[in-house]
Amino acid sequence: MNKILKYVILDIIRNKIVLTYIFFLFLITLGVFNLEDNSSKGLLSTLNLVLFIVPLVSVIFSTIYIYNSSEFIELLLSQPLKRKSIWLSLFNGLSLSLVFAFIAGTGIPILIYHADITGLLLILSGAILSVIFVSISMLATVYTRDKAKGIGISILLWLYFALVFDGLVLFVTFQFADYPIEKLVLIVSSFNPVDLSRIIILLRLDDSALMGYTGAVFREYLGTGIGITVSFTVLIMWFIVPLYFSLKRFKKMDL
Amino acid sequence: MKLIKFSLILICFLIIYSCTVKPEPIKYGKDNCAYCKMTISDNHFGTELITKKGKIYKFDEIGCMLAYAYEQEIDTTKIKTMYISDYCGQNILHDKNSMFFLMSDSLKSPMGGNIASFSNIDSLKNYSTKISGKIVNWNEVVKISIEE
Amino acid sequence: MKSSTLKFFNLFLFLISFSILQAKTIYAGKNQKIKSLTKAIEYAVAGDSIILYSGKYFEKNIVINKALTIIGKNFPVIDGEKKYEIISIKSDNVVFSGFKIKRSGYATLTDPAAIKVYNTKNITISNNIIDDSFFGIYIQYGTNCKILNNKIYAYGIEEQQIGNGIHCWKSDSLIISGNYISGHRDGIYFEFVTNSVIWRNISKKNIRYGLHFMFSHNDSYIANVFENNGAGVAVMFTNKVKMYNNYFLNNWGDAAYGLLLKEISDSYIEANYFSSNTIGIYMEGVSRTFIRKNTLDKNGWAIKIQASCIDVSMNNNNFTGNSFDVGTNGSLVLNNFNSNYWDKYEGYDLNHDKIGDVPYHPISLFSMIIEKNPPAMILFRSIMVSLLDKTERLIPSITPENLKDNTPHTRKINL
Repeated sequence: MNKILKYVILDIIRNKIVLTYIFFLFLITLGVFNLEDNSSKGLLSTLNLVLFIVPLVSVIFSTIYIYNSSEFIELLLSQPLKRKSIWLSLFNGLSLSLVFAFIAGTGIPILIYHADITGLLLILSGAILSVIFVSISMLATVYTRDKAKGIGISILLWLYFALVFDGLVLFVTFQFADYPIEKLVLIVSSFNPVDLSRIIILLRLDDSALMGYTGAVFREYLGTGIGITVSFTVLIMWFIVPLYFSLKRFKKMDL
Repeated sequence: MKLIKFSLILICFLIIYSCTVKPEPIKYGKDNCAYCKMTISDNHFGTELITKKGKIYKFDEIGCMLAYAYEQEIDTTKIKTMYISDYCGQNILHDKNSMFFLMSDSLKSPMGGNIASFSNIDSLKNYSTKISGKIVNWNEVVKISIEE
Repeated sequence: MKSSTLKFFNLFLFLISFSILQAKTIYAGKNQKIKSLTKAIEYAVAGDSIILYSGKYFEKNIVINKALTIIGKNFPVIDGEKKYEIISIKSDNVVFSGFKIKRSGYATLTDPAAIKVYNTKNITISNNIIDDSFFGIYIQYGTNCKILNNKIYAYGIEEQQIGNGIHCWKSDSLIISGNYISGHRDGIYFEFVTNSVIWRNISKKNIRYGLHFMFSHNDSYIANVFENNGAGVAVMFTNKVKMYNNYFLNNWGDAAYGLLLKEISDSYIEANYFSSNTIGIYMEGVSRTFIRKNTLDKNGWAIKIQASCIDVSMNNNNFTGNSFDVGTNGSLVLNNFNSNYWDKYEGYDLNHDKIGDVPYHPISLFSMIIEKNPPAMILFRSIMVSLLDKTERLIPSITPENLKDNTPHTRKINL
């Protein structure tokens, strides 16, 4: 298993895309912190970057990578190896390298400019988001063997989490405006890892005061140590569950 | 299809939720009055209005609650209950129907409505001798508050 | 022996002189013949002056019921031991100055204060230090009173356990100037106070409001500083208010307002400086009011204006670095937003007259959405919201078409 993992990581690093990704993240994060007049605002802009770019890159890169290594996977399958260990090594390799890329690119500038709990939480949620979207892309790839279709599904999923879901939430809040939906909306938002990590971080920033009474309700539930623990557990579930289903299907797949 | 299912679950959840709704304790010094927007700070006077759909509005005194309910903001038929703090009990809310009311200028309530409510008729009488107030019933309270 | 006879003789003369001469000065203190302020007031007749020397006095319920000038030398301390109201002024024409008054009592119905003025006129309270009291200075039914250069400190944590710094109720023609107030519930509180001036006070770190007034017509607030108060400044149910050159700073929190205006009419808010407040100015039921030449910098919302506002003119203000410029829940047809400087303005100025050629729409779509539907705040700073705002700015459809600045300045206005 370790051997496959090592091979996957080496292969990804040799592929220049990850290095470009690190460089790009590093440049943007550094730029953002230098442009804003205080580091708290910088963190806010970095948050947008983390929520938008990181999932997109993670999901597309891993989808393409898995399709491109289909021959390699077939080769491995001809060896006396468990399908589970092949699939998990692939997942581990992708996640490790993308998490590493994120921490190198965004984590280091954050630690330089805003090294506190909030900064660390942002790094942590960015890292988890990378892993979640690797796992989601793996789920997408097992459902179709057509590369174009697979990439399409991945992008659609990303679009759903980044945009469409929020639209639905907005729709729901308007439909049920007469009801006390603050808590409900909070529960609904945990159905989207992107939203959940955005709220966790926002509640810790000065800007959360703009959320007024609604923000106060959110903070009551998410601002505490227990709230953060629960929400990070939910985030972890978000990569375990898709991974589990993809693994289940991969095991039965006729390759 | 999924969306319909989802909204059905949501509706069920909301119906269950709104049926079991209870008064929420007022966080003095943190919550804002829905009508006058001031921070609710005097725990002798805080009130709460709950709609049939379970939405809770908090106010710093009876006057604000009635002004909010009867002026324009919400349809009065949608109100489920009104809860009012006991003047002598620390931050305990009671249904308005079980309360007795005392009016006196020396009460100095946050917005000058100057109506205190008591869940216990004896403590009301006790206070009314102390501060020379007028004992009124709910209908009079409504009339006075809306006229202002 | 001889000296004590002399002392006695002196005292005798002193007492005799009361009946003969007008307006004597009485010296009281630990080393004087008259040991306490209460005694001194007893001896004095209207028109006299009392000078109290420094020292620590445990006196309770000192009632000033004669027209006296009472001056503390080197801040004599009067301690109320958290049980009593300390000074009660119940006569006209009193001057009370130069004391350090500590620890007044606590009660809900009677509202004890360090210095309380009852139904009188022509009172001057100046240069006192009031420390750790329930209410600081309390005026009820006062006319023509001056509260000058006092320092009022309290250490309230919860609102119920602390009164207001300067509390004025049903009074007229007050001058409140040069005071410093911190740690009370409301720094300065006015209810039914008319024709008064509040000038050059500093109200900081109070638990609720820095300044709070209701039903107080024809008052002016000039050059005050309201900083770091729990909920900022609230102004309600009043007409003819004038607020000039005040500073509203760092009133930041879930429910904090730089300036909360509710049911205000015929008023002028000019040349104030609003910085780092959650909401710079919140307006509800405001009418016939001019808001001009103010600076609104780094606020969450610079302005929140509810649909109930009519005939509000906002001109020549500078809007810089705010997260949202204007929030509203209605269409606001009858208000005027022309000739301001908005740092988010992206228009052009072809004829170089420093006035933008295309109108500026200061309302973002999202700020409208959350005004109508607060739980939508969960989408704050999400990607969808920024996309929505961008599209709405290009093709306005939902935000009120009439709420716009037709002549936005392209450069910051010099104020």
